[in-house]
Amino acid sequence: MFESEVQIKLIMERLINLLKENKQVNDYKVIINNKESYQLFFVQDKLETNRLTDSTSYAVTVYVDVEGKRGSGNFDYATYLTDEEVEKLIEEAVFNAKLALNQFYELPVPTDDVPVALKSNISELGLAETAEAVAKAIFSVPMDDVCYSAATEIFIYHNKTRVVNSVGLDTSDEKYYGEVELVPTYETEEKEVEIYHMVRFMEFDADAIASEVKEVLDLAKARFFAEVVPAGLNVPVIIDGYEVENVIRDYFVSDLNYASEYTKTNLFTVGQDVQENGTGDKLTVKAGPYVKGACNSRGIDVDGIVLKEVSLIENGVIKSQCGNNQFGYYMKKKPTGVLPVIMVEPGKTSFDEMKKAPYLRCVRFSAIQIDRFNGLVGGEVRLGFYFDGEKEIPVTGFTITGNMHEIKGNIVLSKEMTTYSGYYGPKYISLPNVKII
Amino acid sequence: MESEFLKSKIQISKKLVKELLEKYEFVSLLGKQTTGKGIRLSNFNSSISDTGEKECGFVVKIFHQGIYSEYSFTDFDESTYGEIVNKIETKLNVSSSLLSKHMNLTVLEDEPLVENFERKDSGKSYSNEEVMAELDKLVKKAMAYDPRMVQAMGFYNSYVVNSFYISKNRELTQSYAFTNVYLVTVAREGQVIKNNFTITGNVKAEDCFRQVNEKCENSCKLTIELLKAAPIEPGVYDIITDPGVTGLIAHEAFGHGVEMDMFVKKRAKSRLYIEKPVASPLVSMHDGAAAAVSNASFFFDDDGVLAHDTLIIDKGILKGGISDVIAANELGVKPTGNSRRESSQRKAYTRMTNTFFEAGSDKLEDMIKSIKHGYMLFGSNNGMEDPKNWNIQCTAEYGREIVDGKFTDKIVSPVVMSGYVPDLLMSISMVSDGLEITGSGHCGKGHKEWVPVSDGGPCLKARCKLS
Repeated sequence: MFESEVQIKLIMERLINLLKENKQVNDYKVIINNKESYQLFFVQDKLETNRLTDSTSYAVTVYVDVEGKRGSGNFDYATYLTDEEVEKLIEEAVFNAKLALNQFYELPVPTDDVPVALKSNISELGLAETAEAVAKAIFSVPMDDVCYSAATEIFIYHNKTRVVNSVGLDTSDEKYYGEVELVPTYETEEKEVEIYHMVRFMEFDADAIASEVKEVLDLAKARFFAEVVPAGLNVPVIIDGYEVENVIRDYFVSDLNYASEYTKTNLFTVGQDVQENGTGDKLTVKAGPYVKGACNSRGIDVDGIVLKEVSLIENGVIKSQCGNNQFGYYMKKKPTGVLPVIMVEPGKTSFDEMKKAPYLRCVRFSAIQIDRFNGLVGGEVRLGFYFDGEKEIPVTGFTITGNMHEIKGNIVLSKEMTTYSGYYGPKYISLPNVKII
Repeated sequence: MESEFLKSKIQISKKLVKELLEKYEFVSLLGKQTTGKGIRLSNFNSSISDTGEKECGFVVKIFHQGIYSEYSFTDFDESTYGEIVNKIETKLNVSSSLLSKHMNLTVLEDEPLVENFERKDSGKSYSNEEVMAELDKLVKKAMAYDPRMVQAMGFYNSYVVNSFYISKNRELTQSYAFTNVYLVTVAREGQVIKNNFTITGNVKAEDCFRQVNEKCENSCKLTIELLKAAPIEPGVYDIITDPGVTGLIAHEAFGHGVEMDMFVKKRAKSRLYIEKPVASPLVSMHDGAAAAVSNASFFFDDDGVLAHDTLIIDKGILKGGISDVIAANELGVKPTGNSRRESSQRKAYTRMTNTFFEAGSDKLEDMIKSIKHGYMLFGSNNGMEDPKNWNIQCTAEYGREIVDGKFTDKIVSPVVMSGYVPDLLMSISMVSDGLEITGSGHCGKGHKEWVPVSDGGPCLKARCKLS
């Protein structure tokens, strides 16, 4: 059940007293997650199912110190448990903590930092009401037997998270957000095609949703009329769509993690120019808690650290790394917490300028593959647009493959910016020397 | 059923179903609890926590207003019973404007059945201390293999799933156990970093430890070898797939396309190919929780339908699909026991379980000898379905070059297979004897709804675009 503040206060008092009674517990952390959602499922434009969910969970971690090392054990607290049962769970967690001892680390202490407010109009509208309004917005877009969404799933969420630890930290965040899974489809008696699309938002905006739905229905139509790419094509590849976020995050940002350095699996180090000898746009990347419209935004992380913006790369040079409390302590660097959003500075080239010479613009992959160890970037492309110097035509059924290790200095970023779930940055990235097969 | 928590909820669940049946034509209640341990040890750190499969919750499903509605919650007792009933009766109603168009659903079949099912780990029982000792031995062995090894991680994930399903005429309980043990090794030479996975899964934890220990040396050898792996020259090649890659093809290339909720949504091309050839006559394919014993093997699904073994392709001919209860209701067919939820907080969809190709009669050595220039592909990495358009993308961990019927020293990694599904399946020209099913993976539907799955089969010889 979605428990009230009063219920939670009473539960926490009882739980913390029981934790304090066990003298082997050196520290503890409790994460309280309150989640509720309302969900609608449509087949084409017909309602099939609606769902209502609510849950409250209490995830408890105990920390035990033995001979300068620290171990942790965990359990889920539930309201139906008796005091004796909770005491037994604490004892088991202590036992497990002693078995899995690691280098010592301290828990994050309270600060004066205030978590960013994750504002949303869904809080005023209500979950079920927002879901219905989203459905209305989607189906206000003209659809027929030829061009339609084969399936539409609407999820409206309300999550509250609070983290309390034994050194006085007590932080929380709360957010409302929505997700809509759409399957835009275009069909005739001879042929049927579809593409996949996920709309994610923190602010409900009927016009924005309708506009996005219209745009992706047009993409389904484009895939229907798509042709095979000309053999032996050798032109710059432009990534267009939410895979732009994956290229930057999975290749560059995931390497800049304290844990990567600690486990000796990082390729980049602070101060290194990762784009040296290149002629492309120099990357400037920050990571942070919040960008308007990015629904991965968070105020705190799982350790309760209040998240703040960090500069990771400036003009292609690594400025700093980021990471959670444990690995930050090990690396003797300030724990930034797990930062959910990356912000990338725009490039010098407009999309129109990118389009002056022949190119292949990839708008829908089956799933882009980015392997920072191998440098691989590529995958099967379900919809692209090929410009031969005179006209742009939709194309499909091809694969691209390149090596980021070799091309990272020559990538070109667009001036145009966009926002995805955990990204604010250039809308297009042009990659040179990528094979098209 | 092992779970004392769920046992304590059966009576109140029956009471709730009975009360709701006075108002609704169909009511069911699923209670599910998964418990266990996830233990991780590497040369850097270690942890003992709950299994990654952990969950606990209840789902009430009702039929009203011509649609199915569900309420998911994490716990209830006499003090919250009234609130649960009130929410179901008031919050699940939808407005008339939303109902102006709805599916033509009918009341689900509810054949009488009362049964309890159980599958236990009948082998050695491991304490957390013993698991840590086993993982420590494994990690030390891997790290000692070569100075270029920078990281070795052992994972142990052991869990027991308990669930009950109560409706007007059915009362089912089940309890089943499964264990996975993984070894991940990472090697580094200068700026070149490569990793490799060895995965085992079994009802008996002791079999997992035995298998992963047997495979440890080869796994380390391969990790070091991969440091010298080159990218493949993109092109179309004759290929042989190992059972892991065969399973990936079965799952991604065709399995998603026969999930019959995709038929309802007109999202699967295969709905137009029933009783038509879709693959080489050498190919037969199955799916079903009762078709193998793995991490995807249960006794009844999340809508109370007993597990099946469904023949999907018989000697190249598509025979039919797999379905959840709602899709089966919409299509007027019998459900096949494939209703699965990521958790009690999520909807049930038609999902695969154990998906595999049947074994053939060819010898692997003859298959290798038959290749002029091609690759044998090993290790399932990931894949993405496209049931509407039958495009395929499957990534193998690595490939070994074959020239004139013999392996060369060349190793390529990773290898992405792509192309058109019927072209790939029709190109299958040899199928090996023997069959291997690996129960360790998870599968999403689209980009969400992750559930445990297994896949596998024999080695296949085919022709495919590699990059």
